[in-house]
Amino acid sequence: MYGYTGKILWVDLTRGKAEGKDLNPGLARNYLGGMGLCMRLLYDLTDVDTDPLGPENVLIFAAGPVTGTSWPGSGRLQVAAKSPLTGLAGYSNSGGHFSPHIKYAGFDAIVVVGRSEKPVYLFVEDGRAEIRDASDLWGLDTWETEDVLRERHGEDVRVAAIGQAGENLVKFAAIVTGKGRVAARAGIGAVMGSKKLKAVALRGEGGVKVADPRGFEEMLEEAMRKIDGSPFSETYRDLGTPLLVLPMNVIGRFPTKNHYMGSFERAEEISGEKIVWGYRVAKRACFSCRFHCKNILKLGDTIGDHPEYETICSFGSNILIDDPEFIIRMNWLSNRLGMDTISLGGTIAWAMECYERGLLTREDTGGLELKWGDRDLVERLVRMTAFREGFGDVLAEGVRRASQIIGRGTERYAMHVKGLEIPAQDGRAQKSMGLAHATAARGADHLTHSTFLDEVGFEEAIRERYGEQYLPEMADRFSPKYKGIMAKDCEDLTAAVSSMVICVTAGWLFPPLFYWEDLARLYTVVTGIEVSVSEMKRTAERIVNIRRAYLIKHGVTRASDSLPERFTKEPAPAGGCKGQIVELDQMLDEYYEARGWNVETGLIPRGKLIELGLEDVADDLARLGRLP
Amino acid sequence: MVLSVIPEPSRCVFCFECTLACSSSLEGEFSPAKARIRVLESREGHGLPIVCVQCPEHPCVDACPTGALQVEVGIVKVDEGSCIACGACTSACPIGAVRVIGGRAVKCQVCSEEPPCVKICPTGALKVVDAPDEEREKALGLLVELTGGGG
Ligand code: SF4
Ligand code: SF4
Repeated sequence: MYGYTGKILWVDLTRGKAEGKDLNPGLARNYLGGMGLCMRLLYDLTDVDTDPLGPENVLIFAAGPVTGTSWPGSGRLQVAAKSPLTGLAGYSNSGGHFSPHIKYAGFDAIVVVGRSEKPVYLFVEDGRAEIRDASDLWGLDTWETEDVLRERHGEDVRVAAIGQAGENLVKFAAIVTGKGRVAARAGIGAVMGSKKLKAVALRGEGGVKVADPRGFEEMLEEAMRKIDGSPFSETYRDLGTPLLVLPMNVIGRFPTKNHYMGSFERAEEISGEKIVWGYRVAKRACFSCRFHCKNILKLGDTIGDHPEYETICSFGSNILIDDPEFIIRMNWLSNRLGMDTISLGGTIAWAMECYERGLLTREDTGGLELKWGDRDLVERLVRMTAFREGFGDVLAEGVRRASQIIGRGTERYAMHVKGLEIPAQDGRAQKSMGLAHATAARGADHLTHSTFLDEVGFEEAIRERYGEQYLPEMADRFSPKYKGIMAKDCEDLTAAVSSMVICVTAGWLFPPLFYWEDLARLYTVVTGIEVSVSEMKRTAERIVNIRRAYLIKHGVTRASDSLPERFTKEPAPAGGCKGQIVELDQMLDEYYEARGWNVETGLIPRGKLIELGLEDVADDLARLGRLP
Repeated sequence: MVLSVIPEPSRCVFCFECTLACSSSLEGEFSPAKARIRVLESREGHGLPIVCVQCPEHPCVDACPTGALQVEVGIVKVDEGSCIACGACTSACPIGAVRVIGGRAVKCQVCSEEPPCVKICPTGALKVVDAPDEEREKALGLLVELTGGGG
């Protein structure tokens, strides 16, 4: 096989066995790899009664056909499991250097099932895998774990590890690769912890061959020209996602005070420029990426990755903190302990708002006063959460469950969808983001749909991709019109790109340089499997639909595709989107329509599933009475 | 003056694109382990591209017991037929720029005046230069210093 290695590593921790098995070529063609492979396997291997933290859950680390090549942004890792936070499809994607080494070590993906009695780590080298004792690693943070494993196996070993939060089954625990690139969302780190799997370490001397090297080379040269010539490349290359702080603050999309509003009066203090330019010692790229949007910062004697835009919101505006050094430190602390900064920050922000409103008292918090902007307190809460100490044990459940435990109306201030905390986009400032948060399969999320085209008005790309007739509304961030159509296409493209596995912000969804034609051609030159644009689109839809079907099995309907009332009923009180709400219902109608789903229920009609070759899924849903 | 690939480590962003371009061009597959250039991590956080700079001393040539390494117009070349894969060259090179892969010594022999590694590097951290002895010596000195002398 070209592109693929043709092998999947199956690891059963209960039986202590690891073996490579052939990748089914039909699975590869129909689901590509990465996200697609993960969603098909999750659908097949888990069910409604699967306990996310039980041995029966699966944990999948997937590369894709393009992973390991020199295609820009192709170093990404796709991870999936049933989520302990949402009870639905959990998936998370990270940059860094881990994923290509899955392939160099001989596999397209690693599928872990079962649960070990004692802590273990998995060491994979050149087609072989060993389950090794990790008693000495248990209790270490992710940085320490990485250091020990590199010392033991060599500097070129690549590591994905959980920290203490994953060990303690914090519901939003993350998997951290290379100390700072994190598969953070949906609590997949807790799944790894539940399996007593501390880390995966990889080393491989293998390679990836493409079917048509000359065709690949031609595409690459053109891609390099496009990337280097894009007006968006310069600032993105310099600052990375922290560049978003100031412009998003201006348009009112930068969540502030537990998403109460979208503009922070002290945003200047924590701008990307302040944080990156103030502390940078080196530029940094994920594997095989010419955008190199990462930065290495130094504070005191410590060097480490910059906080992303999301983290700047979590430890900054959303809890009213304006201290860049504190944000840098909390990012490192969260990475070390292994937690998703979006969920962690969202849960702390909820607690602060509830405390201010008198719904939470010192009796609940063990005497702590939860005052906005209190840095020492936040640092304590971060540690207490990772170790589930005192009130941290409540926070460690994530905002939905925490608010249910406390009750007393605190649920109203829990900013989540389907149990996943809302990231740093205020949908009132950019309507497509409100729709994305409401409908993303993993819960509130911006990267399942990656609707960036109405962010700074990519009119040209909209005209090219969808046609003049959708302008100006589709490019207007305040207009709910045509956002369902845009979200459908962006979600499909994101699903396919994440199956390759390529970074969505390496020229696909942002900036919009490459599109379906490029993806079909890239897949063809890499794998030698001739795929047309229409087949590629259909494959993408298949991936999105099986992911939705998994949710539908678990009871998700249109009613679940909702947002907290803060966004749909409370007009933004001030800032760049003052007076705006998210007109969700109107966008949902259009989105379901574009998807060919039932508009009243959000369920998938049998005909749609058949059209995508998902007869077996249609039969399952029929049996459960979940067809429209 | 000798044509050589000279790294400027402070510009390196640790993307490995050079290793992929090198291995695909010479070995027909994308594989950092098979490239003639390696990338390590510096203590300062930037990448550290390690490649033969065709230093004028070439201790690798002196170390080879079979004469498999020869200097042609200043560039150290491997005669694969005579190489017995003993690794003496690897140990002799202060930055480990000659490696034994697949039963033979391999090293950068400077593909052309516009080699794939230089072409793909997004930051200009690699240059191909027709360089005098002092410049190549200086480049080697920097790499030795940054790797702590161990390669
Ligand atoms: S000049 Fe050729 S052999 Fe040398 S590092 Fe570059 S691509 Fe590899
Ligand atoms: S391509 Fe350039 S920036 Fe990237 S690793 Fe190689 S030398 Fe460093």
